[in-house]
Amino acid sequence: MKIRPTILLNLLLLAVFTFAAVSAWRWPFATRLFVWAISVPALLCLLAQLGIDLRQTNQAEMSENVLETADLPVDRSVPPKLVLHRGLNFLAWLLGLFGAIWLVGFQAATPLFMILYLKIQARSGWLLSLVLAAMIVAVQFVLFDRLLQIAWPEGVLISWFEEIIQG
Amino acid sequence: MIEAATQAAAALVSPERIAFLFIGVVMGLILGAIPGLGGLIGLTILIPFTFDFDPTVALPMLIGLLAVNTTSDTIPGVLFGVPGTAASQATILDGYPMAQRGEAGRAFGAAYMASMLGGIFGAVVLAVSIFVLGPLVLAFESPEFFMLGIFGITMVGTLSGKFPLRGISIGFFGLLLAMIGLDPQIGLPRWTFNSIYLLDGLPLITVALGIFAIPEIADMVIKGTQIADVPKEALGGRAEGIRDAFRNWALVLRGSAMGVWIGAIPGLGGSVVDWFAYGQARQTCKGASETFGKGDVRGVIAPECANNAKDGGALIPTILFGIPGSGSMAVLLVAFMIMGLKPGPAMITTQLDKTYLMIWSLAVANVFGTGICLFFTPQLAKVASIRIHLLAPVVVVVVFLAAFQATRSLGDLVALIVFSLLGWSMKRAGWSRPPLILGLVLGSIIETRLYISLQLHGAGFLLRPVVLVILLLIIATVGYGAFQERRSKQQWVKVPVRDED
Repeated sequence: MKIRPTILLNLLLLAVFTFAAVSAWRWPFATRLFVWAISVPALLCLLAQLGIDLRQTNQAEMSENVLETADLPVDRSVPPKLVLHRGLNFLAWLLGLFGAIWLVGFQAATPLFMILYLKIQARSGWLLSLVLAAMIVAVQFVLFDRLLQIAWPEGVLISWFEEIIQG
Repeated sequence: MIEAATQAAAALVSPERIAFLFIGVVMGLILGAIPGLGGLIGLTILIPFTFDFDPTVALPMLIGLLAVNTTSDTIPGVLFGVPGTAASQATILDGYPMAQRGEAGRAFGAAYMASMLGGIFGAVVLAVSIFVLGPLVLAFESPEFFMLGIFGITMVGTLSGKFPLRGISIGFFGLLLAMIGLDPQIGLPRWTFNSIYLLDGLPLITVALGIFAIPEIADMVIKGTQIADVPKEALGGRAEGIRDAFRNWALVLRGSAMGVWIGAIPGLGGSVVDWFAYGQARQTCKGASETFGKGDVRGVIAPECANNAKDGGALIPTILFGIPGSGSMAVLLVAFMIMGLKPGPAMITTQLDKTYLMIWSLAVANVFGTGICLFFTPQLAKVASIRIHLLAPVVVVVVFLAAFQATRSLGDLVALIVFSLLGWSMKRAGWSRPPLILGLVLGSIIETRLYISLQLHGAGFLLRPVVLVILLLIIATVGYGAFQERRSKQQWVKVPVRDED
């Protein structure tokens, strides 16, 4: 038997609310009052929901329509294993972009990400990849650099190189 | 009030504000035409770029974006049978069969005109509501606003899905997240884990981008959709469709009224409004039981006027009580906070000009949106067929840049990735996301109102008559939630558990 994602999410929230309620114990009354006022009913709701979900785990799985929420719709046409595989792949790209920003800074990381994603993931031609990357660089320069005057954080690698050069 | 309305109209017609409204409308139309994106995502991405704008410029642009994506969402729905947004699902039932028999142009004409009329109807109702509900809002004090905040989260949580306990819990989780940072009363750091970044609390916009924008892009990449080419029949017959909308004026009025009503109920919003309007049209229109679902233009008109009218309705509780009528309105509340606008009495007293500016923007945006759609449907249809793998890296980079705008720290990017993971997990596991944002937005307001109420009235504030009425409404809402929970349990299907599950 495998635990459904909704139960894992429920357990995570239970842990968070329990931590919140316990850690507020040593705070002054005025500060901890609101924490308890929301943690206690939330814990009750989560426990009730967990009970409902666990009772169903062994014999049943949810029909697709039961998962409907007043949120943007979820497409369930892709098999779960493929969803996980593609989801992790996309997460790796996000982490890659973050890592690149941390190492070489925004200005170098964004065109690098654009070109690599378009070439490797989208399998686009060089011309299209370079044009789209150039467009992003232009937007970044005009909107963020000039108009919003953002002070970009320097990449860690760039800082190291500067330190080495300066002795 | 009339003076404020006139001043707001005069303010809107300045070239600068009209230009920004127009930019918002164009962005809203493009986002509406791309299946999977839409106003909520667009708004979340756009807000960080308006940080330095004057509210009288930013508001028309944001309202413009929000008002029209339910106008252009008809395009992929009618041409490809894929809804542009959740609010146009019912339109497909008759719009797509019309396109298949060569009447796409007529369906577009009817849909655009119905959208415009519905949008203007919503704006008029919103303006009237300011007059009618104004005195009620002014009579409220901190205890009532504290209770209204709790009521809003309970209601959005309860009505936002078939698992109300999850909705309420996630709304309270949003409140908990809002408490991260310095305590407003005594300056005690709460759950900052010695991080300087967390001392000022989590930036609303970074959390919103993580919860909504990245998970949507991820799902589009996972699905890897590629829509077919645009058929030629997207061009002709729109004038006939426009005449259809006017011929069915009573249906337009009924659908618009239903749209406003559904929009004003917190937690319902876009994903059901079209179905309600379609259902009432099917019940009330002559001969509908035989023709609906087979390409009846009335089946296009009813949901289209309702889904544009809903924004006017959703703005009523958002502006007057700080209770958003939908997920988009929860994100709009984030924009209000950033601009220094406080929903409630101030919106009908000191900020009345801003309120009317929003109403005028809503009406004018619908006219602009319809005009642009009538002339540029083929071009917008091409946007709808862009390959997602080309779109995804562009949107990801823009989202990263937008998130970094919040506090201009790398911590924003860490928060973005953490909340993206949470948002995607919530979406896939069937936990509604709008209550989280609502809790985060209302957290500081509710906590401050509670503190003031206790200081001024002690625990006795709970016995004030209006507070008691709201408390009863909260109990009724939770009771309704429990009833819904029981009903949803009956929908479980008993099948053997597969290994991969």
